[in-house]
Amino acid sequence: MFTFLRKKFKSFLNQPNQKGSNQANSDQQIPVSKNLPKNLNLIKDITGNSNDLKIHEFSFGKRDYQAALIFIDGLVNSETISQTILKPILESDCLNSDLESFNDLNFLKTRILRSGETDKTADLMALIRGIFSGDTILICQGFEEGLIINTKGWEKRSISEPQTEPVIRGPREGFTENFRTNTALLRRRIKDPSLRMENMIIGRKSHTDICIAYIHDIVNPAVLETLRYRLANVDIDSLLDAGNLEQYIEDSPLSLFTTIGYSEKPDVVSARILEGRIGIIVDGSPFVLTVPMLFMESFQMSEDYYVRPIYASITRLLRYLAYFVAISAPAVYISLVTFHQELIPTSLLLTIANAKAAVPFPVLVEALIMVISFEILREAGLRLPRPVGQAMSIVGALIMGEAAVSAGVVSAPMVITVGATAVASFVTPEQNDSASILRLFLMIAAAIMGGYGVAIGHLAILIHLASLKSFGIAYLTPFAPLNKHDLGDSLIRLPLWLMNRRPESIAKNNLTRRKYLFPPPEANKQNNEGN
Amino acid sequence: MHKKILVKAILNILLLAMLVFAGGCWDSHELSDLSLVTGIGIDALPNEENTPHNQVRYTVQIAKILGEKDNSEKKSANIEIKNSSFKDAAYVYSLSSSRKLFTQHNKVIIFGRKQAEEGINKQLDFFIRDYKTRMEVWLLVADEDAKEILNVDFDMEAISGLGIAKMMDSYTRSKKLYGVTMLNYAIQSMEHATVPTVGLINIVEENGKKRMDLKGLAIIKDGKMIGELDQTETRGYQWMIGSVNRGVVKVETPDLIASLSILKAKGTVKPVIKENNQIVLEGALSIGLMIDDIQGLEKAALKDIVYYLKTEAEKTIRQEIFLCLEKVQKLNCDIYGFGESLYHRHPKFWETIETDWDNIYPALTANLEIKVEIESIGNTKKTLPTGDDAHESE
Repeated sequence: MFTFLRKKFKSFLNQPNQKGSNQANSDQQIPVSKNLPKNLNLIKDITGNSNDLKIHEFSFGKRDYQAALIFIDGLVNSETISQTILKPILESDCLNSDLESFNDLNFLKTRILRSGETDKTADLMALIRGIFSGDTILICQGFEEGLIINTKGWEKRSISEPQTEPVIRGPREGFTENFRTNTALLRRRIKDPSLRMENMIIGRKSHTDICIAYIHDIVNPAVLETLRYRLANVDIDSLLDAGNLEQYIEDSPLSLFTTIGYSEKPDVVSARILEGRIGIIVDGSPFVLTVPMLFMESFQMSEDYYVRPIYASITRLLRYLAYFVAISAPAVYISLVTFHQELIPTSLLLTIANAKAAVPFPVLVEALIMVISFEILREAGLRLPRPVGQAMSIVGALIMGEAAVSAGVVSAPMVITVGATAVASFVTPEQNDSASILRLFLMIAAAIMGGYGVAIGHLAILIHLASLKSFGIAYLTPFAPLNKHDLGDSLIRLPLWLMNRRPESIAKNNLTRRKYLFPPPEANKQNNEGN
Repeated sequence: MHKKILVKAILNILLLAMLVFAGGCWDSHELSDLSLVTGIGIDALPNEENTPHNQVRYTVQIAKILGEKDNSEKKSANIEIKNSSFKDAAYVYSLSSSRKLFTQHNKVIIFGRKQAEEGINKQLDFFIRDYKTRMEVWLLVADEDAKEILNVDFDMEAISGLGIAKMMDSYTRSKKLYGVTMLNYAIQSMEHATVPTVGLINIVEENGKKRMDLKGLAIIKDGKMIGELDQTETRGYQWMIGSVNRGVVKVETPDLIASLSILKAKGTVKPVIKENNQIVLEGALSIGLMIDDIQGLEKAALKDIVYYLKTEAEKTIRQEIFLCLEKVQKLNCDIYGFGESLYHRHPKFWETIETDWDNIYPALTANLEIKVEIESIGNTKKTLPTGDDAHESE
């Protein structure tokens, strides 16, 4: 069944784009006219004379060349405009002298302007796109070309600690909504020419900048090709967050499991890129996507690599246990209490039976009440401002816990089970959404078929997981297909000095992290002599 | 192409449906529909006015489930049903009550003495066959009526069935006395010539307060109780089968009273075939003891006391062993499993004597080598003076 749906989706992905790609759409070219007022009128026409569009007409040089600067107020830094464009042009000795050779805009671009990023184009639409990206354009009377000068400078959030992935140990920087800041944060961590950043623009209306970042001698070329192909085929009119893009390029859009990773932390993304993954930075989103994503990535936290290996391994095992608890604790409880009472120790069974005596509902209904109200509480808590949130948690804890039990709506053991489930589900935030649905699925299976149902449910989940792929890489790697080498960084984390090769399933070419497992003898000797 | 996919999808769905519907596990029941049975007593009915054949009285102890606010003192209730089959009794009960009897957590099956003497195997057949009753359930014979036992309360346990189970657990773990589960009983019953034993429970009255205790073992031959072993005899039995590992040997002579704890006990007794196909019980027991206390003989040298205690302890142990052996030989009950042991090692030979075992067994002689070592004397070498010793030596 899933295969069927997947085939459908694949054929949808591979469909040749009938409407033509978004680039083609916005690529209708309008030539720049020699007549300056005509150009200005055309621009005003296309932009509908929006009031944030500023046109500054001026003349310069001895011969009074007519020119205009066009920019969007708020996207540009006016200091930059005056320092790098107006001042040099107006005060230029060459232009003020009687110069005949000003017949090429390149002269302005190369000799006069003090901007590091200037483009020349004959396409009016390209100029207009430049305006909306925060650039300033310069058109002169008598030239069929215009200049795009980088003057970007808008209000932006400064780099702060991300709220979703706090750490005790490790860098506290997080990505921001600003595209350049994000690419810079990556560059600052990987100062190597092999880190490549490819720009693309997606969104017919939003024209959102996206950038794929990878290390070209490590990345798997097949994955890179697939990603490029899928990105080129994304035909949408707006891209407001990385989460939007994710849904257009993922392998199994109907699956509960996400096959695209994300992170808000540059160190995490850098680490993944260094393993051979590809980062996708989307302008306006502080979340950077990474592909391909494996299931076990949800259980790897950046801190695992910053603390010592034994502790990291134990916490990682704990995370797998917590995920198991998060999806199956209520199901196991239901199956024990309705089918396999003989498996509960007698005195515990008596306690449970006594607690349940006053509850009028079957266990499944009781569990559903608790699980659903927990989801409601969580959803409500997410959106609330902090001071109100506190009141909420009191209401949640007291009313849901205490009062519901003493009123006989739910039994105390059920509250404990769902409580444990709730706490456990926060251990693996990346799988939180899948866990809350799988939990319900397993609960119903358990209520129908008991322990047998729980087992079947887990098998179904396992089969589904094994069938998933992320950009051609099996989702359950390195467990299935088994990769002995990669297992060193899966359930446990080996010491860093033992992981001297990059993960084989992700990286393709340059697998060696360090040449020697232990320092070579010469190095040892030198060290000793030095001491 | 499309058809193929559709057929495949339907087949997949059918397969999934098979998984769900072909499986077992349809016995879902909510906890609030169950009565948790914690003990079952089975008593013979007095033979009055033509009671139907085989009818017995079942005393079923069920845990009372009245919610957490229940403050009543008794956490269990005993119900009595007269019937000839437990299954039928349970069915009849479930009709009149709101809940089904749930025997998976049953801890004990107790037979009244009278019923035990009439035979327990007919009643036990159901429990051994029933997949809900656990084989680990403790099997007991009450000194009087089983109903009375289930009526006695424990100080520290809310439900006496659970209390009895814990008592049996601790007895069995300490190996002082021997608890027998239904599984043990079934295995022993099916062995060659072995006569199973079952724990014998009785009510002790102290200061007007009733409590229960394990009295010894009941000997059940062919399902019928034909005798019992008291605590001393039971230990005699345990020495022979090598299951003593803790406990105290008490030496009482006119000169002194001493308790010696058992540190280790090794060796078992086994039947050995001698010339002329004579069967003799042979075994070497090595026992390590520690002096706990000595009352008397305070003037004697330590060396002498140790020697004295060694011989006396050996004498006591030998006495315990033969007390039991003679008793069961007189009853012609092979509780040790000597027949089974012979069958295991010499199956051919066993075939020749199997029919004659009833004559051979009571006449078996035992040739035991008991080696007692005093391994520790405790913290002091000397005994505190009491003055008694001087008086005696005069």
